[in-house]
Amino acid sequence: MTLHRRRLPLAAILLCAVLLVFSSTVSGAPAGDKLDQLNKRLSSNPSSPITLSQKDYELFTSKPRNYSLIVVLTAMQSQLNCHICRDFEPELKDVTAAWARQKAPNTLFFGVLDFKDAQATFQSLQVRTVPIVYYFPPTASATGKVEPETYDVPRKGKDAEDFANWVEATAHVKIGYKKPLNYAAIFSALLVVMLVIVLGKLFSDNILWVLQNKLVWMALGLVFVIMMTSATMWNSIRGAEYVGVRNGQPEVIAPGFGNQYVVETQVVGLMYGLVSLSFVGMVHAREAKGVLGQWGPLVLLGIFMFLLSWLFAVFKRKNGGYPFGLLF
Amino acid sequence: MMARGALFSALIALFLLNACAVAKSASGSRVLVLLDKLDDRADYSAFFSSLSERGFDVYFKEASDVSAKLVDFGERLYDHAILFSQKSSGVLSATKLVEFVKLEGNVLAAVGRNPPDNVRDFAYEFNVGVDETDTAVIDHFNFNSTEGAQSSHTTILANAFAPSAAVYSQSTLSGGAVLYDGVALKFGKNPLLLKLLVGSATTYTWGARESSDVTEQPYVSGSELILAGAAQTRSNARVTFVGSQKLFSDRHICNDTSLNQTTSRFKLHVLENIIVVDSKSGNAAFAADISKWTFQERGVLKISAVQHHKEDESFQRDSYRVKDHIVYQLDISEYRDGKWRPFVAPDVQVEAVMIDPYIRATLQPSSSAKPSSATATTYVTKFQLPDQYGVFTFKVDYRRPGYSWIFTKETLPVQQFRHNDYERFLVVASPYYAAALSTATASFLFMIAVMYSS
Amino acid sequence: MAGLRLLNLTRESQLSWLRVVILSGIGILAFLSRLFSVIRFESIIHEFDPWFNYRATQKLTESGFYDFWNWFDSSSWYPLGRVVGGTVYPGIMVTAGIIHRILNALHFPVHIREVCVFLAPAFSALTAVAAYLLAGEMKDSSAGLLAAAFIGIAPGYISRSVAGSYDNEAIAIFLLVFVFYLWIRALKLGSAFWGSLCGLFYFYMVSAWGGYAFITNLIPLHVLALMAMGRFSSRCYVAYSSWYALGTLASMQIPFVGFQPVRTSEHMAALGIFGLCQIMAFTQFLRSLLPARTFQVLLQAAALLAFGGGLAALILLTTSGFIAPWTGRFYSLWDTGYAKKYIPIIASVSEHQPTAWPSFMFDLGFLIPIFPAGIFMCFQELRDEHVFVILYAVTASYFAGVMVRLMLTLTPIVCVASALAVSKLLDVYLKDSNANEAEGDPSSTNGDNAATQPAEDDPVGLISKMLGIPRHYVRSVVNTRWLVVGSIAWIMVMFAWHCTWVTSNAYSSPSVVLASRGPDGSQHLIDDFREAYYWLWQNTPEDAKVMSWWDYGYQIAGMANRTTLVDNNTWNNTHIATVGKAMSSPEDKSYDIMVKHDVDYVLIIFGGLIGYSGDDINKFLWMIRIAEGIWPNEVIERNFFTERGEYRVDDEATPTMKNSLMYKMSYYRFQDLYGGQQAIDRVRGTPIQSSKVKLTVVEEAFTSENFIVRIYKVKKPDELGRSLESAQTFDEGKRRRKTAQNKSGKRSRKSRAGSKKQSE
Repeated sequence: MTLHRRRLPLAAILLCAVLLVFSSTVSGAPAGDKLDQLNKRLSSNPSSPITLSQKDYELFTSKPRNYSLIVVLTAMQSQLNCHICRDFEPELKDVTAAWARQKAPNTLFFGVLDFKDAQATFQSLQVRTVPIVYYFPPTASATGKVEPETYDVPRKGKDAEDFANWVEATAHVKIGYKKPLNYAAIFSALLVVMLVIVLGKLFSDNILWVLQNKLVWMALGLVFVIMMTSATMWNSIRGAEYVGVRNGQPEVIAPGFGNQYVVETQVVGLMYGLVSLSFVGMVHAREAKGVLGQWGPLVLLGIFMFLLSWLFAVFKRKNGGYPFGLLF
Repeated sequence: MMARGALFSALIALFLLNACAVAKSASGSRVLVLLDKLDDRADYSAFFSSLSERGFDVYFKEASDVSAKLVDFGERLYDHAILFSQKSSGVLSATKLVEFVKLEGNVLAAVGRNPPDNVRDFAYEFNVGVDETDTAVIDHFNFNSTEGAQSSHTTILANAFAPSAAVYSQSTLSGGAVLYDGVALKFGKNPLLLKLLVGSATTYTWGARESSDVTEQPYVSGSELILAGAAQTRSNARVTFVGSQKLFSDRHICNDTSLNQTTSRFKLHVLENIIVVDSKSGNAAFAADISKWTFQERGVLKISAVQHHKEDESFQRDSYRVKDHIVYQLDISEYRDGKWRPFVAPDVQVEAVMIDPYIRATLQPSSSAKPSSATATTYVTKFQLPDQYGVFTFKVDYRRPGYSWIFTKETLPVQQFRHNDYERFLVVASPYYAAALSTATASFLFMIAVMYSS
Repeated sequence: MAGLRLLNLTRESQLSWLRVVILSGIGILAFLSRLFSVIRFESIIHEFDPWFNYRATQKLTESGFYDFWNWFDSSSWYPLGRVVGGTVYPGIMVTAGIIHRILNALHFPVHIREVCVFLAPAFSALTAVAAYLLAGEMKDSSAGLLAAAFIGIAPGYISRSVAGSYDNEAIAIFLLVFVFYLWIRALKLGSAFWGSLCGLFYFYMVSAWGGYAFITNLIPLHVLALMAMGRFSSRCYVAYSSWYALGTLASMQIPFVGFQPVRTSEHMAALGIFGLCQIMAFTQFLRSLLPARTFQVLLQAAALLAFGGGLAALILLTTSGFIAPWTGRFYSLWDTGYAKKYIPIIASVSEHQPTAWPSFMFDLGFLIPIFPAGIFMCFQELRDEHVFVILYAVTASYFAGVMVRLMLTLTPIVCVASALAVSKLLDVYLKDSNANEAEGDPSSTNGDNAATQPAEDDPVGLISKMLGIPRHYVRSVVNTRWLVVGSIAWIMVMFAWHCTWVTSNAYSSPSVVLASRGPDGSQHLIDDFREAYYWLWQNTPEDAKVMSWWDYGYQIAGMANRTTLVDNNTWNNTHIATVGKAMSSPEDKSYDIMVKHDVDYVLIIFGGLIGYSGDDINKFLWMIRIAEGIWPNEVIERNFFTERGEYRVDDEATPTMKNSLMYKMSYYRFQDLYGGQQAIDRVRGTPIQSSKVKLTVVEEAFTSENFIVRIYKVKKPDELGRSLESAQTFDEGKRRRKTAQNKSGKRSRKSRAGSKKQSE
């Protein structure tokens, strides 16, 4: 999510804040006691990231560093509704916990810097999208580079695995994160399986009847084909909106040849179904006797032609240069 | 005055005499000499006569002469150029000089206390720095005592030759020191540069006029201080910069370098390898050597023939197969003393490259493959192509200081096995053959049985 | 009607002759309707892949089959090269080669190009015949004729088979349909002969198109369905076994396929069903021997056990890695997000995008709405072949929904199914049943009065009562039968119009030559591509290496006959990423890459002047992504977007963007066209950066008439050992050495080349 919309009202405050930041000369405190402070902070709750304030951030990220620090810039405020931030928080916790479980000498620390605590820092770092992760290597590192590396959560993935892999790659440590087994899911799956088996035992003949019933299969097959030919996959792959909104009122037919709404495809699928239905109807109405035999064909033909023409009209609307139409 | 006139007429005679003489240079015999005034040539008569003795057609022009052209309509008018002009840059701008060099013309540029701008700019293009006007190279320990002990010691004795067999003849290296009176050069970062003559540990450069003490770090000093340097372009054109054109003058060429007695104590450890008894200056030999080198009379290499073939064949293919055994050979000859001779070196290598080098083999000077002719040495090596198909580049890239850069490459497809290059019948597969055959016969018999049983 | 005897033939033979005539008419029509491009432009090979096929075919015809078989193409994928024989489906080349040879043997001196250009239309005629046969198996010959007519003109198939689109699909669709026909035939008759024939043509299909995997999985699926329906029979056994055994063995003869049929998951279904067939057959055999009920239960248990065992073994082998898992291309069909995440090179291709519903209508017209009706009818009379149609419809419609290009596999079944439906309707309504019409007709001879009573509420009577016109007049107009038939006929006519229009407007341009309409409607051809390729061919050394994005590799090889680094056969992701890196890096970095790969020329496509949207700046993001996949630390997509996350080319563009070689080469000297004022990029619709674009490591060699193709020459390293940038500044006449201020002996530390570090 982007913050620049949010920043505008705060401009004045931010300005002062920025000035403060730049005026307050970053205290190049000796690395040793910074490490102690960090350890002290960590000792309170070792398995979760340290919550940093703006001052902490300035302090801990200042050189020299004899530790490596990973700072997650996030925005947990509800009004900023940053979904990814909330999704990412537990993952971060898991990774931190995994790191704590490693019982490794404390050379790597996880910190969280929230937007509401350190807007000025965000400003000075020119952070536009959160959450974003900065990795500050030790100033006397083997690789020799001291500039922070970034991990762009929305792009590189917010899963704990991806993040842990990145940390292991950049900080050259063993995080040893393993995805916790989702016991609930396993248990429920087992339950379902057993339920199915039990039901199958109980209603075996009914189930057999259903399985052997042509109508069921026919319904399934037709529905599936109609859904597919009305481009349901496009919706699921491209994540189309259910219905569009054009200046106020909802819009069913998306403009443009290569674009569509979910409701649109549903309508089209329905049309397909009805057209086919009337078509089949025409075939069978002929044999029918009496009123149906006399009226059926005409009426169905009417419906058939109308719907088909409507379909083509819609198609024409979406495809500008298309010259043809049936009835209208 | 009389003497000068006599010399002059002698020179003219020499030109007439040498007009028909064949040049010893590998690249041509036309030399253009640029002077401030045509009369100045008398000052360098010895040098010029040595040139014409070596078979060059030397043409003199004044730097300011508008007809002084090196290149006309993209064609070189001369093969070599000597820039002795000091006063003004004249008509040949740095751009013209670079154009000349790009057309593989060789340039010997000698400057003095106040180098003209065109040479400065020209040198700059090679990343060679020339110290400012009115500065001079100074050495208080090796200077020419004939100027007197209280002189500013700007005529120094240099003998730190770059030990390159391509440039210097043995006699020069062991010969007397070079009398040098001029400006300091300094090399920047350029892989094509080559130091020819550098200062000794006590050499530095400073303003020539002021006798004041050195107040700050000199522009350059010690062995970083270049007295004569050269650059060899990628097309093997040679450009030599000498900081003192006086070095070529008759005065210095035939002069005794009698060292001053006062500092003879230092001589022992500062200049241990000066042969003091030798009272003749090394300028003549030095000038001869660097002009020979610059004008492509020595240190010129060429590849006369490249040939490769499979080990069991003798003809050259335009593509090979993976894991082929290849014989690669090429002839290298060196141009020395006016003719092409065999060039023998232990470190010529051939590479088979596909993005990265897969094979790097050292070529051996061979007598077996093809008896090295009088003009060239044949280098041979054998190697097996890797088990990797692709378009390989066979490349010989040989650069040694002083020698011209020889480079040859050829891209050859290395193909995979053809469908019929594989073994047709494998012994290890015999069980499968047996199985197949038995199944076939069995089914055949079975069919017979079924058909005729009922 | 039965009475009249044309050239005294029996009615049957009349009908069969009629069928032959109609069918051949359809074939000719199918051929002719694909010639728009030839008439409009010329007889030329279309877009990209066909150019490689054409080149390969030339190689085949020039240097014979075995040289083609072992062809190592050293002029593509430089310097890696490509073993063409082992990485290509040779079917189409061999087909064209054989046709060419036959024609020449008959002393028709036809150039191979003509054969290649007209191969697809010719085979589409055959496809019509195959569709006729297939639909004939489903219902009857009338349905067959309809199906043939439909597939003859359906745009979904024309899109890949117009004259000049010389691609695998051109013959593959015919083979697909024909193999299915043979399969149905074999299944019906249970004859090993038809099964073997099916296997034979399956081999042809495998040699022609990678899409054979569809057959490899669909037929086993059909058999499995039949088993589940308890319809497994000896016919099924014979047909399947003969097809599988022969077809698989034959398909393994294609080097590109090799041992895949026994080593990869795509083929495991067929193998499994083969095993299952054996088990089923064996159990049935035993059952026939063992009457006892208990034994049968035992047998069934054993069969199930064996099946389970086989399945387990398969899974085990797959997990152990002996059997390769699904390849990315196939896997991306199931997990639709997969490609975008892991194989950008696949996701980047436009024809791998999902299909929106209008393109279904666009490609299949009114067939799509009545497609379900056809399937419904298949369900009604559920014979074995109908089961096949249903399965085909279900699977193919899914694939077509996921990937636009797979519309191709859907088209035949849609044609067949809707042909079934339409012909059923026509059967019903064309059958002149006087009974329906006769009732309630006073003028009919047996007019009993009971009939006249309901006469009021039938449509005819109603209208006649309202208008007061005698019934028989009305009836001649308002006639259910003719109304229905007429409207269907009308729809089909409209369909024909639709197909023709789509073909001529959408599918007939050989993207090598572009056509644009002037304001007065006059057509104006844009021939920049061929202009540029011709220039390359004429003005560059034989062995020049040309670097371009992979889309143009085949065309450069085919038309300019020059060595390329990457091409449309995207077998080496790293190499493509290298090119992407060279394009997206700043000049000096990309210069090193280009020198390392011996690049002499760089070719880019730029549409900014005339608004050709398919140009490299629009593809640039994919180059960046693919490069980032390999060098995530050197090429970073984020840096090409502005802080607001926009992809811009104007002054707002990020420095990374402006310094990238691609950007510079695209817009180099573009401003000069606009004289003084601001240069506008017509594709992006924005002005470009106002400062002058400067190029140092490459120099402009050629720019086509409309700036679409721009070719740059990579400079040699400087003679004097300077950096190319400083060399350029010198050549531009600027004096690089600042002159010393004062000529006195005083030291000024300026003007010191030595102290300046010049970067080499």
